[in-house]
Amino acid sequence: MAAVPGQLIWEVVKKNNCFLVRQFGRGTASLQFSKEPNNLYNLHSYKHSGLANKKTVTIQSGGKDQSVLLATTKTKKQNKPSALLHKSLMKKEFPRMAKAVKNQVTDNYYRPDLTKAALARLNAVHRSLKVAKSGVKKRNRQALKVRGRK
Amino acid sequence: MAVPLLSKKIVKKRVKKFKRPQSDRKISVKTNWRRPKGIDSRVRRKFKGCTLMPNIGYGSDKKTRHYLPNGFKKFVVHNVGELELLMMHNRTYCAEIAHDVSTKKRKEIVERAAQLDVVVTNKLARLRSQEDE
Repeated sequence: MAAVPGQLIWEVVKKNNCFLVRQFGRGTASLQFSKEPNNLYNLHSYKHSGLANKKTVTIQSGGKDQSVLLATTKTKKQNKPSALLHKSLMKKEFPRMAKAVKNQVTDNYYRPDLTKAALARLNAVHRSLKVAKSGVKKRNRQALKVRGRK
Repeated sequence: MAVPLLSKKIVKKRVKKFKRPQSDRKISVKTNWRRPKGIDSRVRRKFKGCTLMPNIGYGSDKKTRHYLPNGFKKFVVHNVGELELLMMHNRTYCAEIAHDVSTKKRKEIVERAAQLDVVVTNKLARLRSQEDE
């Protein structure tokens, strides 16, 4: 695997793979998502693909209460899937987790293009954990925009 | 509840069906649209007062196409794993639980959806029958 370029893998994998979830709908209503754990936006695209990129970022709940798992892939272990991930379990408060993510993704020039996605996902995961702990509350994140319809 | 990102008003240019001409005359001519092809057809020649024919001008705005009245697009979900896909898209897509999912699994999906702040269109489905027992 080490010598195979990501673009080639993407060409092989983009038509069908086990992570791909597609719905066809009517006409142009079809859509594609990807179930890969190291796909930050769950989108089926080369940029976000976890299979085709040497450097990927995983952010998911860490299992134990409120902790978030941040993992990046090691470029030199591409042919050793079991040792592929560089995992770190974050249990700190949100601003410090965000800083850690930014450090790991951007500040060491790992995948600066994924900064926004990583931070957005961290936020989503963190919020879901918070809700899971304290129960669902009826809240409105922002005022509903008046759209001219009921 | 998640707030939809869509800021445009959804306009449907026509909500009536296009009926096939002369479908009222014969049972064998169903109402499903078929384009008239005859050389003399009044409908094909678009005479005044005839049945209207569908055309691309009736299409919805690309920005609001496929959106439900609640401002989201629909994504059919069979299990919790598929729901997780919507975690980052909870302001464009809403989940709809597939028809063949059991009450027990529906509950799990609805619960997880609340945590992920994903709107579920049919979250009350199959609730009543269970409470009756």
